[in-house]
Amino acid sequence: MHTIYKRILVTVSAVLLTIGICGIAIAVELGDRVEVHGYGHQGYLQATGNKYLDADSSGTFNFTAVALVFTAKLTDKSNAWAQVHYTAQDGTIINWSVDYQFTNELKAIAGQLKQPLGFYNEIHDAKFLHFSTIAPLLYHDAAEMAFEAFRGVSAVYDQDFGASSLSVDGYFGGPVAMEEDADMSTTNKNLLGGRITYNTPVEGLKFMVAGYTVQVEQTDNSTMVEEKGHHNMTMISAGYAVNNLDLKAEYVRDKILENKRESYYIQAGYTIADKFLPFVRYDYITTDRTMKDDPSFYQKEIVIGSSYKLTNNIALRVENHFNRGYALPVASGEVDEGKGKKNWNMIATSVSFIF
Amino acid sequence: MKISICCIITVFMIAALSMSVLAGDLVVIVNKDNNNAVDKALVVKIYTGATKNWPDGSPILAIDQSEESPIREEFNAGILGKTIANMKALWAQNIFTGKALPPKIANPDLEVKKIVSANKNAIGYIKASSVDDTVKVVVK
Repeated sequence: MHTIYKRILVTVSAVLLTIGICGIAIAVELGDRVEVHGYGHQGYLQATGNKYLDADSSGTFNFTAVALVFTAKLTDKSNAWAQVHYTAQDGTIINWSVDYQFTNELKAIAGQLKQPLGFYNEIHDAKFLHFSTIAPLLYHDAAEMAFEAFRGVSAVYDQDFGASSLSVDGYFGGPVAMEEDADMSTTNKNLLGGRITYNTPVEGLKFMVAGYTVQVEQTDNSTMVEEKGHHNMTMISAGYAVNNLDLKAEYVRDKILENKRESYYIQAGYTIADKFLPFVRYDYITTDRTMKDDPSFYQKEIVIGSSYKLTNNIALRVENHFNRGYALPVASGEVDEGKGKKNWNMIATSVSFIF
Repeated sequence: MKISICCIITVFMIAALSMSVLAGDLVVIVNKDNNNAVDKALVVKIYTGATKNWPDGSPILAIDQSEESPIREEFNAGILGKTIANMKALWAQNIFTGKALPPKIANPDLEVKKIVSANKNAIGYIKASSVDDTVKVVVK
């Protein structure tokens, strides 16, 4: 990262954190129609055995995100939204949208939108809203199962049935590029997807089904062999959050060209005294189902950790990831295939805030 | 021994009575010209961002009170069944994903009443003792 960016990042983080700590952590209203919100986190990661997410046995602070979110009410039926988002890994991304509410049920949105997928994709870097510092494996950049965002259009249909409700998202556009692989040039276009969310009559119980298809063109940079095809993905999610208990489970199966992959996790957390949220998660991914017994292509982890809310705006987190297999360190290019350690740990701790 | 038990029961009864007075001390108000049917379930949907329009199709202007206000905690716990932290996380998710804008903040009751009485589509909550004939009570 350039030094100047680091300085800007540190300054912005310090200011936002100070705002949060001082309890001024409320949105800034600019006139009647514009509000400014934000979030961020600073993490410290340390890994034993395999290098991943820039972390090795000496640890890294290179796990940072800061975002400002602007919302504006254009008319009674239309809003504008923009997010200026900086992460240590991806640099600056600006997502934006303009929506129009046709009826109470139907809304159309256009812009550079976050991909609606599962529980966490749209709030990937708003760690304050997560159980853990490090998200479930399927959401990692190296997994390449979800896009950060896409440029295009979306329609949202919400139907209220009284005690239950249904929400349907449909979208089309061009994906915003994910992290580039040094060995492979990949172009994704014509992303078509959707998500159905059903909030059941049972309080706190919801189910989601999501999926997408996108055209893929891959060129191996060493052999210059080109492949064309599709990346198809389906995902089912279930969540139950009532009182202090929060349970989540998600399952994903996808196919990029001829490569079939799979991931799932189950997670449970319980809030104690409105402050502590201890949680446990079992997580699994295979980056090639034909090689799922090879530790270079699977990763199983048990995560145990807790968050502590200092205020309603600031949270501290600490967790340990007990890993077997190193599929994502291989996928990220930080460990060579067949050269990693099968059993390894990663400790993650962070401070996160919202306002 | 009997006296001690009587004292404990009395203390509990007073505490329960004061709690019920507290719970009944808050009312949800709308504009006097708002003829939509409003019940507690609709109020919950409005303040969690699930509903954006009144049943007659007009856009809802929801008014919240500040986090520091005791009446907000009472409203969240008594009407919405959530803590302030729960609501903050829910609205943060709505804001960060561009799904919905949070209710406007107004304090104190006088200002909430002023906005609600001036805007046909507004909804807010105030102490029962602050109610006058400029607004209509829909949920007690």
